Amino acid sequence: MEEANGAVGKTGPKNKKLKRGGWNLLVLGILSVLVAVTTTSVSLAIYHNSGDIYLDRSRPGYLPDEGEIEDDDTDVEYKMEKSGKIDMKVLEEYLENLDIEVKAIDSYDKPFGASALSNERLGIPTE
Amino acid sequence: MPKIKILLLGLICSLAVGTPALAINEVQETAVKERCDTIKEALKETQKEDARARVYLGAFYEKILTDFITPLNVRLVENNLSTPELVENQNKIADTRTLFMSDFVNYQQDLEELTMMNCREKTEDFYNKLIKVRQKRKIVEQDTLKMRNLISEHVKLANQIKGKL
Repeated sequence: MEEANGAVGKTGPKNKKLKRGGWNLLVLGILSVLVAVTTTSVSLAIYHNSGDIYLDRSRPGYLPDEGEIEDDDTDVEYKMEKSGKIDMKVLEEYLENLDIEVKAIDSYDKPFGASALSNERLGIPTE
Repeated sequence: MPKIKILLLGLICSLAVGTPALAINEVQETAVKERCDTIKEALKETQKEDARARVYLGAFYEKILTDFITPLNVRLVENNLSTPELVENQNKIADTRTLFMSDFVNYQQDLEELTMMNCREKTEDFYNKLIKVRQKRKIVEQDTLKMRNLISEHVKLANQIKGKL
């Protein structure tokens, strides 16, 4: 009986310690999840409220189409050097290359035109 | 007598301010209710098209400013060929680019709110919001037109310098 009591006396605190350790681990786990959820929520709120979400095309449903992705390896892109002599040839080359960019802008048909949200497109009678 | 006039004027003013403008008629209201889902789909499609346009134009604006206009102006200063008009034009282009981004975000926020509205139950509110979104879209369109004019102005000024060489 004494032996039995002694055994209980020895294993009791050990069991308590184990139980306490398990409890601490559980609390740590819950706290970690809470911190992760809170920081993620705050990040998403900032991402949304700052408007960055509307400038980001990597979000699902907004990824660029295959045709939009340019093969950057084929073209050597022009870039004006910040220093050096300026003569007629340099400016002509500059204006020629700038014209290519301007034409690319003009090739986009009426960006943000009124027709996309017009009553006609949405099927709402005008009068 | 003047007191009565003031009271009447106040009453008219409060009525004018308090009464919302009826932008939608009965036929339109019925159409919006019936086509609610289709309209929302079209709005979401527009959201995607706009994101595409914003990225496309934004990339060119960035490229023109950082690879063309800014280095040219730096080089012109170095060669004592710079003009105040060219520098002013560069600043205007940079400002318009920033404005284009913020106006776009502003417009998209309202467009998203519109897509989340209940067009069957709050049809009039939905239509009024649609009108507001159209106005914000118009501002973004004006930014792109302003940007295009400023780029043309830069080309004109650069050609003037070329003519002087």
